[in-house]
Amino acid sequence: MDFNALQNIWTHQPDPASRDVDEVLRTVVRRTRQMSRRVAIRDYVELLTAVGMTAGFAWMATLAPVTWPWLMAAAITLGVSLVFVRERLRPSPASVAPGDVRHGLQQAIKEVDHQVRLLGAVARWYLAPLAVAAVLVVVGTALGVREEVGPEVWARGRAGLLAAIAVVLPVVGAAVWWVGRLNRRVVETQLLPHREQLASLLAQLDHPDTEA
Amino acid sequence: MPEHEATLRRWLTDHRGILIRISRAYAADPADEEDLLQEILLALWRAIPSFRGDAKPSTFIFQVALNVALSRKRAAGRRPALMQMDWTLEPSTDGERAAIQRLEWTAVLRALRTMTPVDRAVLLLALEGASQQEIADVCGISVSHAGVRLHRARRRLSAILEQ
Repeated sequence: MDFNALQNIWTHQPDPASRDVDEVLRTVVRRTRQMSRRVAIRDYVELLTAVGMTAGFAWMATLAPVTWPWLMAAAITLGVSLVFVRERLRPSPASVAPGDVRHGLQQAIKEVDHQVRLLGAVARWYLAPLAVAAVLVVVGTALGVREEVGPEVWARGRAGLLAAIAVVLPVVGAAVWWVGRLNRRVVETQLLPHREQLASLLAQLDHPDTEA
Repeated sequence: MPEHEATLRRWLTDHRGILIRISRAYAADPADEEDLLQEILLALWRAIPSFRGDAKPSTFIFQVALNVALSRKRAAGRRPALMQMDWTLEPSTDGERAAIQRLEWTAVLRALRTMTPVDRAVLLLALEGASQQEIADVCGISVSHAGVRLHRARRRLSAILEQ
């Protein structure tokens, strides 16, 4: 069979659903709007949470006796919020204009790398600093209480407070570790295999003998 | 937005077949074909503002559709392509001629799906009537490279179909 005959066979396939163009168009517009709305709501909620947390910490800091742990906790939370807001406002590599297949594959690899970086950063740049800030809040509160109640009462209650910190620390640490582990799992089981698949396609594009 | 809609309407009217055939060539089964087609349509809608008109709409559509088909994550747990549900097994109510055509294009589809995704893209473009220059533009390779690839892929397709 010559290639023209194959072209003829190939281009005369039936459309299984015989889709109406207007209906397809309506579906595309509706789904695009739904997606944009979902992304906008997610972004606003995350941004408002970051701003709210910062404002909340600032307000609490004005109420408590200002001690160094409180100031450090407020500074850490503010830093985390600023990093978060900056990352949210930065356009993702996926929003770059489309191009040829080579460019598309390179962009897709960049996007996966971006997601890997973000997931890696969650534990290091968001959760761990916030956990440190939480511990500093407890320490700051304890120092404030010590000043208020005097040395005798403080000596009696100190053991209980230290026990509470001893409980809180491993719980916070375990939570950070668990989220980090979940993220590492997503990276290892989904993102890295996808990246390998994309890199293999890019290699195939340059070297025809490369296998998928 | 109306201009945006008019562009997509025009493209769908003129090139809907291309989108369906690309989805079919890269989908694991008929259900996945529908998912892939929707992903391509959404990508096309988002890509419309970047269409400057310096390339043919079909070239632009090929680029967007192939980018989606090649870059999407292959669903875990799906069976390998040749083990999938066969399109020819769907009940057919059309006549004998149509049934033969259906068998023929299913054979071509099956042969295409044994190839690497990149060779499949090159052959798909050739089957859709794209020139070597257009294949090179869509894939981002040189014209001579496109020619070599196409020659090898065509030979392989013929060998598979003759078996």
